[in-house]
Amino acid sequence: MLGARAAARCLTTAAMAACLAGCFHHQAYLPGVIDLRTDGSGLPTATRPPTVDPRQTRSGVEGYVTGEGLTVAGADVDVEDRHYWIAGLIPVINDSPTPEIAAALASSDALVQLEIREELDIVSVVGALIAQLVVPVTAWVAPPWSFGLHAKAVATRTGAPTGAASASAAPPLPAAAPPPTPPPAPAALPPAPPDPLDPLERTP
Amino acid sequence: MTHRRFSAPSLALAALIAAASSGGCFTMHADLPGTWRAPAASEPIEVVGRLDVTTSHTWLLGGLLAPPPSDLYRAAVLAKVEAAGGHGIANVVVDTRFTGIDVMLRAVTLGIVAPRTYRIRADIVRLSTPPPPGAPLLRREGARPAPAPPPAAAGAP
Repeated sequence: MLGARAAARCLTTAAMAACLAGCFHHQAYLPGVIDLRTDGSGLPTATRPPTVDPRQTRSGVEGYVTGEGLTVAGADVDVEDRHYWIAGLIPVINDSPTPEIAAALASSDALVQLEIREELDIVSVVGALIAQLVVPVTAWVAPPWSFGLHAKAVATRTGAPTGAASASAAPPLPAAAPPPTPPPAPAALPPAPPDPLDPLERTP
Repeated sequence: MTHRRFSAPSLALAALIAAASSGGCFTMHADLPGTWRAPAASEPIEVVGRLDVTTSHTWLLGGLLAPPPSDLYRAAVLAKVEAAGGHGIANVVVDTRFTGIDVMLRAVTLGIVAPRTYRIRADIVRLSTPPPPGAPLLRREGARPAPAPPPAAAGAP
């Protein structure tokens, strides 16, 4: 049984979190192109294992705190990235999954069965509740929300050029024109920008 | 000095409300159909429009109940791409957030009703490569063959 003061502190913290919950805004940028003409089910599963950039894979305590990053099991490619905000508003600790997503795209010729995940798992919630009873200030940062991505690596056989060498080196597409005035002719892609996060900055 | 003690049921209720208010258990899995790849620098890609789809989903009991369907984006994305005459999307940006109204509803109901807003933005593009083998996703692609890749420029080595 907890004392009245501890229970009141727990409820007050919960109320503060509810009122100041913020928006817990996740933003993820997916580089490259998603071809929607077919579902790609006729593409053979990649014979060679997807390439993993070791800089985007984490384990141990770092893996628990910020997510395991990019992991590969057979042809399955997974990204898990955990994010924290102060009061649900100000992102702190590992605020963008873009490097891991770019590494996932670069891991193979192409990927199908793409699934985007976002979750706040029960373990994180319970852990945060226990932590805030011990150290109340943690209520302002925890629990973390996870962004995840799952896809299956395939080998392309259509002759379509792919970015297996490096997705981060692949140039992004030109900025979108307003729908009523599409560009008159196909345009070649511009050179790669220095920062893959740039497309996020042009978003409204 | 005496402290008032709380019974187990009231503490359990407080914990439930705290869990619902401060987090809950939101799990969203959304499929994006198609084949995701990085285009080569020399691949011509034409931007024919802009995709901007916003949808809201209402969770119950702090995100514990009523998860969104896995085809949260699928129908809207395919319809927009088809309407714009595109073959796919590029530069995809996925946003998820509690808007001001979402936060207010969540706070007033102590997390029992918790709407969350999902948004996907992208450039709608036309591709010059043949479509990858598989079941067609766009109706007009199923009705006619995909365009052939453009011939090499005259005089090219």
